[in-house]
Amino acid sequence: MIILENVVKNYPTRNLEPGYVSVLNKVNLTVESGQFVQIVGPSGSGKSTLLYILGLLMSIDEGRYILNGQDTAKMSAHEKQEIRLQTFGFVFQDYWLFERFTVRQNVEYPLKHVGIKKEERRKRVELLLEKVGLSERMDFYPSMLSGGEQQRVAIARALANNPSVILADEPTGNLDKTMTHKIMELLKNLNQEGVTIVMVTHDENLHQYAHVVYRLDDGVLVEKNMQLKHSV
Amino acid sequence: MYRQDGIEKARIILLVCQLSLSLIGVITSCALTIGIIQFFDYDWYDDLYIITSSRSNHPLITGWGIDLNDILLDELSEKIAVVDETATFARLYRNWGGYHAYGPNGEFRSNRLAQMDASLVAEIGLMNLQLDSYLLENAPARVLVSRYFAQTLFGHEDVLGAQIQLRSSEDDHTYETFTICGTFDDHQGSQRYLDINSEILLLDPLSNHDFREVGNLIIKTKAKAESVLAITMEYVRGINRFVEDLNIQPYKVFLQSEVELFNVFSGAITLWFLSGIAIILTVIGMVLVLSGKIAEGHFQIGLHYVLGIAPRTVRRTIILWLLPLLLLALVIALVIALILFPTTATGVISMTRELMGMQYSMSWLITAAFIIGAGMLLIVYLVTSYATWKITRIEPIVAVQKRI
Repeated sequence: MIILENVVKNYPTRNLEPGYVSVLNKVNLTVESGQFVQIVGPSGSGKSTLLYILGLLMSIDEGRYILNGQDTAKMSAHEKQEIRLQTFGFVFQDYWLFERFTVRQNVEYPLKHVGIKKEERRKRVELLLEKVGLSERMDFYPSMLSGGEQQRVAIARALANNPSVILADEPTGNLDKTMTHKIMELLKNLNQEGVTIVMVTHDENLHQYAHVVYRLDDGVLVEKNMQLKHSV
Repeated sequence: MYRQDGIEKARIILLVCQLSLSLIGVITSCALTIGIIQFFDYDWYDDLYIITSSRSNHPLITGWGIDLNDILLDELSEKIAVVDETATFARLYRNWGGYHAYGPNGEFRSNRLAQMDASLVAEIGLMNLQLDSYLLENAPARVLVSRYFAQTLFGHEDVLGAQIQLRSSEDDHTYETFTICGTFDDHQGSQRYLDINSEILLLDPLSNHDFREVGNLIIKTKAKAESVLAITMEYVRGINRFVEDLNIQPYKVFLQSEVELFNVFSGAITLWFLSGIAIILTVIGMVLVLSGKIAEGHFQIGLHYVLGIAPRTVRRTIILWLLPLLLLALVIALVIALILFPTTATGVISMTRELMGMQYSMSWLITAAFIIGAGMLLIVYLVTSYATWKITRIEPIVAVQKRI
């Protein structure tokens, strides 16, 4: 379970006068296990910042972030690193794949660091790539794939360590309508298998996939839609 | 290297420049470091004496024709040999045709000072006499040298074999180069051979334009200096009875005399200074290459942290990025060394000679070179660790987003 309480995040201003611009202003958010949560908002509204905070990729200035009952402020850097490796799976708008690795190596990489044996890794990678429909592209490099395919590789990598939460930052931002639909279906299926999904997007037409939709405007988070499309 | 746009090209150029700088630094510092160590290796000066006179018209300077020289050296050989059979003699001088070394068995000429070693000339002359025609027809030729020769050259009994190679000039039929090597049970022998070139350079310290030993007699002998001086004085007085100021002194002392001390020290200071610059350049080069690689791979490093990969893995990854560069630098350095100074010539640079010597023995010089190499790698490791540690201090998302 993810709980944010009065979270504040400021960025220093880039002009000559020292100061701060508030990105998140006393944000409260609760994400239950198994939920599909969408956070929508215009560009620059702080959606990605919120997601990075949830993924322990960025610290908060004020407030509390409770993850599975633990206050993240009290966690060491090592604990946060372990959580990123084993609890979260990340999907980004620009895919963020290792360009010099093949598809197989990209998906396998996080598995290497949790002590899984080579043979088991190989099996799991094949399973994951089959799941995202890229069995035929295992030995391709990311630059040889389309945007949609790269995003599916990123999703497969995010799933490698069986995370309980997937954090997706504009996963369809660079994709066309057809590919957007495919990726969203994939996320929906994962959610139905029990994976919690928190996704930020500026595309407000994707709300049908989520259980809860929040809107972030000027650093203030408000619940937009309580209509449940799927059972939790 | 996937996107060949302007930024990528700039990065590549930057990296090549950094690599070149690092490479130059590594090569120069290695050569200079080993050169400096050899510069202060005075081992060859044991039992080495110089006979001088202050008079400018002294027979030792002006009157030594080849015949006179022959007679004196024969006489010295005959008398000193009773005292010590390993005594060898030579007179070094220079004329328009190049450098000459003269021994009891013949003259050895060369236009390259580095080929000369006073203590060897007698034996080289011996080989010339025996195999002159053969060498002229079949140069380069390989000759198995006598046990006596090897013993004389290396000064001890543990000689398993020795080899000499001469190459004659097609123009004037003089010998251009020679290489001598030996295999030994004892480590000292081959090392002495490998030092030949640097030792002879010390006869002409640093500035080739001033060959101070011209006209002086250089003697390497275990006989008493007084005996050598007495015989020489007797002989010289037979030529010129007014000669009174013939002096003999250890060559090491001669080098450290007031005038020479300045030259030796100024040379040493210059070498240390250059070496210091080279080492600084090396470290700067390595740091630049490292920072270049880290800057280039900032996204990769950040992505590792985003995915929760442990910092030690990231550190290992960065070092692996550098490893090909270090190996490349080493290979290029060796190739350059071999091209510029092929092992068949005597002018092999220190590093190559040390590597050759390793098949016979491991001297403290080699150990020191390895320690220096290991030290440089340690510096790289520490800098890498510091750089990765610094990256772990910033938030992962900042690291991954900070592309150059």
